[in-house]
Amino acid sequence: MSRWASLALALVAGVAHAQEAKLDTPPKLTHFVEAAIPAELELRGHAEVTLTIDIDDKGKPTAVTVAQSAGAAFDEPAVAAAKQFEFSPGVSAGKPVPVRITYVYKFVFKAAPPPPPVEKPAPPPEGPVLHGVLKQKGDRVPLPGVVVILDDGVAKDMTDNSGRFTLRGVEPGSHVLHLRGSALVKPTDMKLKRLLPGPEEQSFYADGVLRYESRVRGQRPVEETVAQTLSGDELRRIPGTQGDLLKAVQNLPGVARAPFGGGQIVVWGSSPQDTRTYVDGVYIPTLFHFGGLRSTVNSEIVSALDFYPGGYGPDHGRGLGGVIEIETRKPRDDGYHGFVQLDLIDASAMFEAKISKNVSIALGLRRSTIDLWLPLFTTKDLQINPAYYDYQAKIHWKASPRDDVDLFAFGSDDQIKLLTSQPDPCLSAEFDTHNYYHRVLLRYQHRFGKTTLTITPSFGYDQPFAFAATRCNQPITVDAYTWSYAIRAVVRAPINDMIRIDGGLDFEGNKWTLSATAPASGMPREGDTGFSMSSLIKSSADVWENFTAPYLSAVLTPLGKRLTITPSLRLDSYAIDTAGISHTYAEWEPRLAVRWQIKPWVALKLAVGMYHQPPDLTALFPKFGNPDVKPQESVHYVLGADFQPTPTLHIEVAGFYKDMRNMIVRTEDPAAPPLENEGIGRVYGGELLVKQELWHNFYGWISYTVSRAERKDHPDQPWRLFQYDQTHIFTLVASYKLPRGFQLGIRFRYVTGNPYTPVIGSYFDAGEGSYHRVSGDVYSGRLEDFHQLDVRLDKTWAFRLWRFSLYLDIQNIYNHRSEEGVTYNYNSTQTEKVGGLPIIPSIGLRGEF
Amino acid sequence: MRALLAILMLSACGTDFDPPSLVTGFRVLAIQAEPPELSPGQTTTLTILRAGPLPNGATFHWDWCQKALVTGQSGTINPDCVTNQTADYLQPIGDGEQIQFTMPDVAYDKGQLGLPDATLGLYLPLRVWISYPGDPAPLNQNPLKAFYRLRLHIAQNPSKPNQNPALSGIFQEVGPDGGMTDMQLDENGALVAKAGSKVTLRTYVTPGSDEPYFSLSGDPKSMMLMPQTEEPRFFWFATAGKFSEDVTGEPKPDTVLDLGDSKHYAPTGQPFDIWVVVHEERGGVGWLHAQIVAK
Repeated sequence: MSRWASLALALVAGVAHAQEAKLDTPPKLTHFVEAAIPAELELRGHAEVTLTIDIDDKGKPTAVTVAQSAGAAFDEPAVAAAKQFEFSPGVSAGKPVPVRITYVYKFVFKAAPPPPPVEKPAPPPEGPVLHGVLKQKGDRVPLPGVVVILDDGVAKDMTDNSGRFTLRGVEPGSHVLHLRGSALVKPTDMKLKRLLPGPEEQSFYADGVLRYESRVRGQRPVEETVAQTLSGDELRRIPGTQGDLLKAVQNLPGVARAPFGGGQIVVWGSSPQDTRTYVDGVYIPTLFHFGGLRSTVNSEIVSALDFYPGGYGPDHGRGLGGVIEIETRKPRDDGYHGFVQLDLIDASAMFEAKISKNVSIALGLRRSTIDLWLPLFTTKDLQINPAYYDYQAKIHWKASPRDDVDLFAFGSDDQIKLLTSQPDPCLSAEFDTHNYYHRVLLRYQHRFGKTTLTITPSFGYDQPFAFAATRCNQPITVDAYTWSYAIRAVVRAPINDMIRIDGGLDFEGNKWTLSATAPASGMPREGDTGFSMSSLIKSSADVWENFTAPYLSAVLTPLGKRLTITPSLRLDSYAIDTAGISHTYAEWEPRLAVRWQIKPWVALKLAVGMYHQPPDLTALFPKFGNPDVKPQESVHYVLGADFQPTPTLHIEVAGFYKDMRNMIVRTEDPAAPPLENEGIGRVYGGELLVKQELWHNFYGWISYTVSRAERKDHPDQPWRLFQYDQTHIFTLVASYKLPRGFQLGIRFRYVTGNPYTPVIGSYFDAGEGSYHRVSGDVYSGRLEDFHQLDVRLDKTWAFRLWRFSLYLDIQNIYNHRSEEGVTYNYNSTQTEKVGGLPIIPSIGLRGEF
Repeated sequence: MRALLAILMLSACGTDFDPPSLVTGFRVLAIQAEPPELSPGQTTTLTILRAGPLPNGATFHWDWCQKALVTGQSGTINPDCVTNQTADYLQPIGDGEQIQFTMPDVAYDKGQLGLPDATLGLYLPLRVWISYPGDPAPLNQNPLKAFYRLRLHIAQNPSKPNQNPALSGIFQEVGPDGGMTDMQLDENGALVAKAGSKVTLRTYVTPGSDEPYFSLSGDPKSMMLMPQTEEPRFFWFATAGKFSEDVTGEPKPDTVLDLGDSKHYAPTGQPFDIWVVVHEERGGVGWLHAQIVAK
């Protein structure tokens, strides 16, 4: 067994349901299979997964579902193991009958037992002894819980947490090792021609299911709603994501499609900047590199991605949209590992190793390659050259069995040069931008029995937007950079079986330095009818922001944990000083989440909560904005249900409504400051997710969202559509594992076209010599619907010590140029459609060890 | 930032549109007020520079639109000034291709003219509404609506009232050193260029046309008026050929006129029109007209 972890089990908790008449004899477990032990067990200490198992009249499990989750890391191995159980059948009226039972699988962490006394020497082995360690092919992860049987049962053992096993009585020569266990892809019989037992440990390799993989959870992964977990290994093979796990979030329900496949995350009718992204609890300004080509955090170091489209808990705030929370994993401590990857977008590498008894490190670096070849395909009239890099460096120190310390430095840097050269200077543009963020965080976690305390201070230096542009022969410059400082403290304290108290502090501070030469209208805002180049003005200012939010929640689980009620309260204080103009706002945010597990296969869920968002920096900018604008406000309402008709099929439906107030909009009074809090908004709709987890080599999901997002900029104005209102968003993702390491995947998307503001005329400004457009009603036009099919083919070769992969990813395989916009000639008398991206094939290589 | 980039990319996508410098019919190329900046009670003369044949029955009607632009509206004029022919905020001020206008006493301190720009400029939007019989052009181009924003000189502005710039001529680049020279004239006074060639052209304002003025700059807490010099921009128009740059000025002072461009070919021996209009940032306008013949 592992030095630190062991496994204990609780067997059948009770017969829950007999299919027919009264049960005379309940089923009895005759063959138990140990589940793979998740790494998280060491952190959590214990976990219980309540399973519902349907047993046929022969004693075989026919269906295993999770009735009470302990988190994806525990659910999956528990289900996998239970599927291999064998029972004596239940008996009714003297005949075996199908039976449904409830089974509680308990994972319990135990410290390693003390070393055995040394007074007595170990008994001599009975014959030659084989010392082996069973590892997974490719990445050499130890495979625990696998039964190793020599030939016809001459010797037998089970691998421990480090994959080690011992077989006695092994004579030199040809043998067969029979391997059985849930950590394997399939039962394996290993034929060995020259097996030589001896004192030296020998390594054996098999195809395992264990990966240091990442996961994307589509819904809240805590007790109040069901955990929606997607396997990271599968997600990397979704067509169109170029192997980037974090891009999978763009295929989840509730997420609108960004124009040109860009990286904006538009959730439930909120602007992209309304959705906040965190890494280990620390805010980062951008999740994707330019154009959404790649995420700014290498998904190889990600252990989980939680996506909350709305109605989330009190540990997050300051955004009216959703939350994306990325949790990084600790570096591997089972030897040295790494990978090298190269494709047409970028090249990346990572190395990780255990460097001392309790310390392990991971180092990763990625640099774009697209800037090396893209100039070959641009013309003198249109040149675009994006270059980026990102890095991650993490040190994990296991200070004691109860204390963990992580030091994590990471960052991202994007530079883009865009040059369009046309005779009309107002259609020509030079655009040079440099955006970056850097973060250093220190995370300390301590466990007091079942209570955990996590403290994460962090510092950063960002330049979220800085560019120099020339348009209409006029220079525009905007520079904004900040020193950021933050601390997050979280306590999770189980009081008893029915009550857990969570509390914390979420503090973020920024010291911004701004300067700009730009049109008086400032940065483009949602609802603008155009971008005016007239009246360039200059402004600069320092802005201090200190946001402090204590919060508290109680997780109540009465009715045998079938009902979970989580009331919570967050107090967010916003202290903002813009060039000497100071304001402090204190906003109370009550929230409630309820989940009721009506049956093992169906649950109802409800969430309601209040959210605020401080003014964005461009809104505070003196002269371009208004330092007196207040935080915006929103109330989220969510009502939904989860169904799990089979162990691997998950269906989720939800309806949502968002009520937005105090939205920052342009003023109508020319003499007033440019911005004010007069806007309101509403978003309503429903979403559906049907997800089939890996089953008979098939994996995929369908997500569909129908919604309407509207804004009213001033009380006397009518409702209008939101910039990214997309009535229908349909996504189909499917992949199939073929023999010989091949895998084929498709992604099909159909999305309603974005609204746009049509031009209904123009006038000539003879003083400045240019035409200006006259716009119709804001967002009263619709672009054509978008549809696209992406296809991906992967081939993997798994060797003993490393793995090699090759993929071909073709986006937009039938080359449909969806309409992404409308362009006009100089006096708006002629129009042309702006087509989307054409067919884009890409090929990539990856080697990992 | 991404939104701005998206706008730029949308506008930058290649199209088959004719460039704005190509004159194919009746157009207003500029309006000049002489003088271009005046105090209340002073009178200016407004003159239209037009190209192409004047449509039969065309009428020119002038209004002063008393509705200011709202921040966030695109363009330079409140859209209500554009879409309505008559309204209580549209005050008629004359008819014809040239009119005179006396600066009224405007309550600009109450926002009647909107916010001043960085040059302390406040502007009265004057509209000329040009209508003529016949089918309306697409997207409401008949009537054609042109605006001139007449600059009000306010007492707090330490800069001298603005004057219109003047152009000194059209010059051609000769030799690899970038030296400029006068273009050769034919017997009819037309500028001569080699047929099918690419001619590098430049123009200058006359000495003194680029005036000094003051502009607001710096932190809002300590904003100061800083001295500036006007930076004229030159707008090129022609009835044939294709310019590499429709607008020149620093840092791109030259444009290349391609007489052999397949779409806008300049036929040999037939003179065609060329105009240069100069604008500076405070509303001053000047122009010159010439003919070029390809030989």
